Amino acid sequence: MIKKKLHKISILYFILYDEQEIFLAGSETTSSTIEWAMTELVSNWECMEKVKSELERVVGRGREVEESDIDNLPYLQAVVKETLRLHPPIPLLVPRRATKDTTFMAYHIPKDTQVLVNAWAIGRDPSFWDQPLDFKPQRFMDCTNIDYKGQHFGFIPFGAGRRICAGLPLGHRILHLVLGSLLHRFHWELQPHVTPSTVDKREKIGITMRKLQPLLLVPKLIPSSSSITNTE
Amino acid sequence: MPLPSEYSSLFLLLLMSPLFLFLLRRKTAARNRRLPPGPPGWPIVGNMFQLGDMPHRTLTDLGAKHGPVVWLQIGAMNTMVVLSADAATVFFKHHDHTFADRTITETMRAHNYNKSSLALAPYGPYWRLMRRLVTVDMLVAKRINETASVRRKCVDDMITWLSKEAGKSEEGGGVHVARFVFLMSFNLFGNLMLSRDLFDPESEDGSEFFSAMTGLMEWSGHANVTDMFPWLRWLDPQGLRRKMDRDMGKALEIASKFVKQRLEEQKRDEKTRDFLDVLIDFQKSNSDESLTVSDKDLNIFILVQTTLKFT
Repeated sequence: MIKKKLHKISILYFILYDEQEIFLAGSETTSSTIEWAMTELVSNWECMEKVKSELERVVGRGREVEESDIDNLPYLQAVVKETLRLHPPIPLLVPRRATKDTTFMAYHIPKDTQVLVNAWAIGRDPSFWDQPLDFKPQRFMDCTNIDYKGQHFGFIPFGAGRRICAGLPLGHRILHLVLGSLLHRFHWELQPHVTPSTVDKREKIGITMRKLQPLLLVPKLIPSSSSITNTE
Repeated sequence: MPLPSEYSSLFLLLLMSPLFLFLLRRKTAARNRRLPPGPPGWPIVGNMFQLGDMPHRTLTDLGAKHGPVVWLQIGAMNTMVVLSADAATVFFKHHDHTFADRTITETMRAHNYNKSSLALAPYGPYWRLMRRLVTVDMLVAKRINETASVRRKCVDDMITWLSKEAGKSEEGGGVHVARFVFLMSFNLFGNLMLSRDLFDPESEDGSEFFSAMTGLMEWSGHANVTDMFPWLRWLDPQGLRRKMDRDMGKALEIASKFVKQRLEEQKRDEKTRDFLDVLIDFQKSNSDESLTVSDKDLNIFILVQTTLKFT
């Protein structure tokens, strides 16, 4: 009887503890990353044109973007990577802790020392990246094998090692599906008083690193070819 | 030569000032065994107030001054910061295992969250089991492929909301892109895990769950003084722990309703299995282990029990 009760409670604990984390980690990081991607795209118009024309070419007008398209959309992938490089949603990752006294790079590190890995600084490390402060998705087109899956320690928005984000494979799909769909279905215009060079890019730290000012854009629905046929 | 009274006053001072002792000890430790370089800090608070609103930027600047590995004292917490691609390479390649634990903040202690959460659990058998459950049974490529249509549906809903909003707003008025993406993601995870839209004005439980969850996010996002000064824990000066406990309790209550409903449902189709089904099956197939734990603390009991169940 008690056992049965406990049984149920442990499922509950999973739902709450792990799923709260998934909700929190998933929803907040997804929306802040998409917001930064859109911010960079509306302020770097040639990148916007390029990613849209890739979608037009690969997906076309007759259907929606699907996750199975991602592999055929290298420039969209490069845009997501470049966004995560400059704007990792959790800039200091989730702190680690030393399980025992240890020596790290000739320094003595006592047990229980907390470790902050600054993914933001590492993504902008000039010894690893050319022109680190510029938004240039092209760098990942020239060097397609660099990714965020934990093998390249100069690019670790999801962390690395044993504690790398467990949701990475899902996050990868969601980011591309959402960004691809937003760009495929809408034209995004700046508000009349904003120009590409005056888009606000200040940061704010909450649960994730968001924009200080929310990005406000004017969406114009792109009719799909089927609805064009209907009206004709 | 000092008088005996001077000795005694010095002795008294030392006795009455644990702070002094603390500083002394730290200094000695630093002299004997080399810590990474870092900015000098104040007594007790250490470098806490030097980090500012944008710690990632402040720390980057400190890196330019002190090098790729910086040492800080944040309140009572020893802190090492890794700031370059090279240092990160050494860290993850050669020291991943030594630094496999997480730092636990005070708000995370609500309902023992820190002990059973996947991202925060101590590195050990429990963590490995949960990790395996998530990566193998929930997020393996095949499972992800099976739920592609769920995600497409949620994105379609978002496009509909956005089109409506675009039609509503006056010429040149902008929409807050991130808000739509956030609501979409919230529903997306609700569907992947529990097969329901959690942001739905029609469903009371759904919206209650949504507000409890956003509350939890809010409280855990606040900087908590007790993380820097553990001895203030009993006081909970900002009330964060209390708020966290309240919302966690609320969320727990609603989640228990979801589980109950699911257990009463008939066997579900393999194609529509969500994370909750995976979890229930996992438990059913591992329900025979005997429990030898007799702990008064229910939470720890549950934790151990979960570990056994997931073996």
